[in-house]
Amino acid sequence: MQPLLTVGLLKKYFPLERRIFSGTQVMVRAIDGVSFEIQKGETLGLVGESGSGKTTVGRCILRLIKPTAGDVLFDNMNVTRLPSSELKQLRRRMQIIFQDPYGCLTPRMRIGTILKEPLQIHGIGTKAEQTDRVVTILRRVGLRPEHMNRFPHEFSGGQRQRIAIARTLMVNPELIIADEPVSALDVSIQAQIINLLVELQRELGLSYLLISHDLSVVHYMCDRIAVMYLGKIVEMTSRSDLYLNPLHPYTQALLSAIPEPKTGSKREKILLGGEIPSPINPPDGCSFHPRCNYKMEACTRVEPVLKGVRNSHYVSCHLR
Amino acid sequence: MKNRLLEINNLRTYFFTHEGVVKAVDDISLSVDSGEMVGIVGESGCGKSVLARSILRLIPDPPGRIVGGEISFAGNSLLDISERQMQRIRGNQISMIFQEPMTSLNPVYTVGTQVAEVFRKHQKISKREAIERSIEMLAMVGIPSPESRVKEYPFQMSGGMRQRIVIAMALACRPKLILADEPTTALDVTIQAQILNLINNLEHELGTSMILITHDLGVIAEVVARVIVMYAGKLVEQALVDDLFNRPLHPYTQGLMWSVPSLVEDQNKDTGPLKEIPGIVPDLGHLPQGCYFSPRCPKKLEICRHEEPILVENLPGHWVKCWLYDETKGET
Amino acid sequence: MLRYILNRLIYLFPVMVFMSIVVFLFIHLIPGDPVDYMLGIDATPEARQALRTELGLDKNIVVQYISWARKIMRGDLGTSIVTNRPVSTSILEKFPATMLLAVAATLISLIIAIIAGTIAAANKGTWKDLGLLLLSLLWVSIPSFWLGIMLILVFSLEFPIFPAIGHVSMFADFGKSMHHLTLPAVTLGATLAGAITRMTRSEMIEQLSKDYITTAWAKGLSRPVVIYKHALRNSLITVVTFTGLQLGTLLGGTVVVEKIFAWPGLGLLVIQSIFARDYPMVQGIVLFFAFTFVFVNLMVDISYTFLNPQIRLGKKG
Repeated sequence: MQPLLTVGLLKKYFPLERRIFSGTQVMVRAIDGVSFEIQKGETLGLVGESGSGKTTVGRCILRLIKPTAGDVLFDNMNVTRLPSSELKQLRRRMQIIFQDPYGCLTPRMRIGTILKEPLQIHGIGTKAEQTDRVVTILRRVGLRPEHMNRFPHEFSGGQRQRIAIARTLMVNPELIIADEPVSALDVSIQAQIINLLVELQRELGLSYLLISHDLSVVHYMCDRIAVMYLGKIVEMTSRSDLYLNPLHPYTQALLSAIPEPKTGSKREKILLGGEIPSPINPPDGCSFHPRCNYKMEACTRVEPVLKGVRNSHYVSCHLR
Repeated sequence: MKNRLLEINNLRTYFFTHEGVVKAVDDISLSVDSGEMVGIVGESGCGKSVLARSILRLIPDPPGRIVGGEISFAGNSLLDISERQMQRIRGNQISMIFQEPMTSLNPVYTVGTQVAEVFRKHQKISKREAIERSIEMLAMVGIPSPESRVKEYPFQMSGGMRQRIVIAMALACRPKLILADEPTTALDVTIQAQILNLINNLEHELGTSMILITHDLGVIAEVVARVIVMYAGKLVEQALVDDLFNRPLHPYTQGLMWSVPSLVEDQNKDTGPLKEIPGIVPDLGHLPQGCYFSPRCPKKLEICRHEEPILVENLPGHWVKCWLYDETKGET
Repeated sequence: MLRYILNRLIYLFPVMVFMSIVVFLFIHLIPGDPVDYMLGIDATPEARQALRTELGLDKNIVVQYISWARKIMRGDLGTSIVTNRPVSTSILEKFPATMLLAVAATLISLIIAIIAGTIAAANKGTWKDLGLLLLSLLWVSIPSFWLGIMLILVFSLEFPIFPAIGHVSMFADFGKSMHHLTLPAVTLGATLAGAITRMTRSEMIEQLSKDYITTAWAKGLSRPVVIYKHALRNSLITVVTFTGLQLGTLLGGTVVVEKIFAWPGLGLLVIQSIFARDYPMVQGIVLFFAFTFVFVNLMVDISYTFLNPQIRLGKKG
């Protein structure tokens, strides 16, 4: 079956400083060759820590940032090469939810106006129809029609995130990129929003790209998970496979680092030494090797490639 | 027999704002023995940070004020002493670590200067000696090449490194008690593991007591011996950590535990929805009548709407503030 | 750090060129024929034409600019119509007096204002704060000519403490020099002091709400240490920038102040030259002021390398 979204060898390098005189430009390699697919109705999780590049991936897919190299195919259309006139059409089908519920809503606009805006931009429906749709969507995300007339500051963080979700639903998208959608929310509210996102997926047949550093949330919501480190995918497989059988040493360390909310015998913690290196000067060979407990000689020289080990379980490591 | 190091009784810290009185900490009692690690768990707005700052009397006045209760440390009241005397205790006998390592350090001074500052304030030593001790502290918190890093500025260090500096500053004068306010929340997961490990090791080595504040139940389970759960300025449950996780009593505590999807039990969207706590945390300026949690409580009784429950000891050492466990149901 | 300074110097050149064009255009856009002013309305057409040719006013404006700019680069600012001496000589003669006045005014303002702003911020919301805010508002609003005259009335005539006019060189008699300097410096610095106070106050309030200040308190540091060593040090960057930018207004203020106090500096000279229609002189002085402003701001930029370690050391990769 044709995937809804295909990302092929995506790269994004940011120049560090504008130098007037020097020759070589110092680059921040935010994404350095990332490839994956999302099927219709599927949720793919993109997991990583600071500097992994996961947020940049989300922005490149929507072409909010222009990729340095690589392709993004949405429903077989090449997003990276599309002329701006056709991009607008495509944007209707892909939407994004951001991390900060306090910053993503224009403070001076009423909720009704904020929600109608996507409809107006794409020229959907008459005024009356638009209002009806706002009411419908508000209800669906667990808010009330009266909330249309209020301003963002009158709502809590969780409610604002619901409004942000409502905004994405207005134009009937097929793919939603959720960039840390619950990280800024209290734990008890996180559960509400996670449940809402899962419900909406079932009801509307949505596909999600869930970007997060929180492995518990990712494990709960995703069908497949890709682990990123310093701009590259180091492991990608189904949810259960990742948890039960993590192959990459970084994934293993990441899983072991999560504090378990239970007492009694604890599993052995893998502690990684050192800091997360900067994407400006990634180490030679495998970018994880300085912190790896299993490194071999080859790891310091040769960069490993992401390859399938079994059952769509991909890993980028010389050990395999 | 353990020594009682810190004793807080019926503490109330209120904020007097234009919109009314915000009861950030409302009648909290808690104690810490020497060498003990106590956790305070709760979500944003529950008053846990205000509680910690109240201990060090770091509440900005206006608009905040400690309006009632007692805090005694090593037998002496902290509320009766002068600001000057309080300054001698801060950073010296009681230290605090904060949440945001990126902004907790002064950007224009070297980390060495900032650590040395603590020594120079509380101990009568020379500048040179203070820097030497700072280098020792940096080594103690696991910073490689401390002699050279001591001259660096905060912006030259990562979040994890900066948090180690903050810990170094806190431990410099070997305080008896450390207040750690969400010390790892802003850090990446693998760095969080490193820092928690460091905190655990140092606590063992130095025997320092700690109050660890967090919203993360996993962190609580890893580090502390005893836990209190706070909600809307009130203490709703208190227990040893094993008891809390094995038998959470208060519906809020239960709700918190169920809200976090469990990796261990392979909880995922196909196994069923997460058990939510409906509604939102109440506005501390407009608190409901009776039990503050009742509007959101799945097990609420009639009495919960009118009367605030009393803290009762359900099992030895396990206290809960909930009508479900109070046989008297308000009748004396 | 060197790269930073180099960067700044490189920007200096286009800024100077642009400014010289602006100065040039301004003077030439003034209505009226300079020749008329210089020779009077009775002059003969031949005399007019002769002068026009001599001054190069018959050529097109771009050519005029280029020849003027060339002269500037050689240090030749033209000749004064009134005195017939080179403009540059007059400027160099009068400049020290103005510089003394400007530096004194800036120093006095900075010291008083930073202290006032800090006290206001540290006592935000109290009477101290409100009082200082009001005072600073007053200082900003008072026109310097009124203040100057009032100061003379009170401190020179009513209570003969300070001399009203005259200037004594620092090198001749330091004490007397300072004595004469007081009233004009206070007058010139007043507006600046008011502005810096407000700037310091708002910047300090912002710094005092930051996390590192809470850390400082938690370390047990005393109030003066937290405020002066920690918060103020971070506020200085903004305050210094702001002061540098205010220099333009300050230089403009010298015109009025020097006139009132008969202070023999560039301000007095420029106003005399304006009334005398001494175009070359006016042009020269305005250009000189403009360059001084740019230069001072360059110094301010360079001072950042001392105040802000991130600039000194460069952002670490």
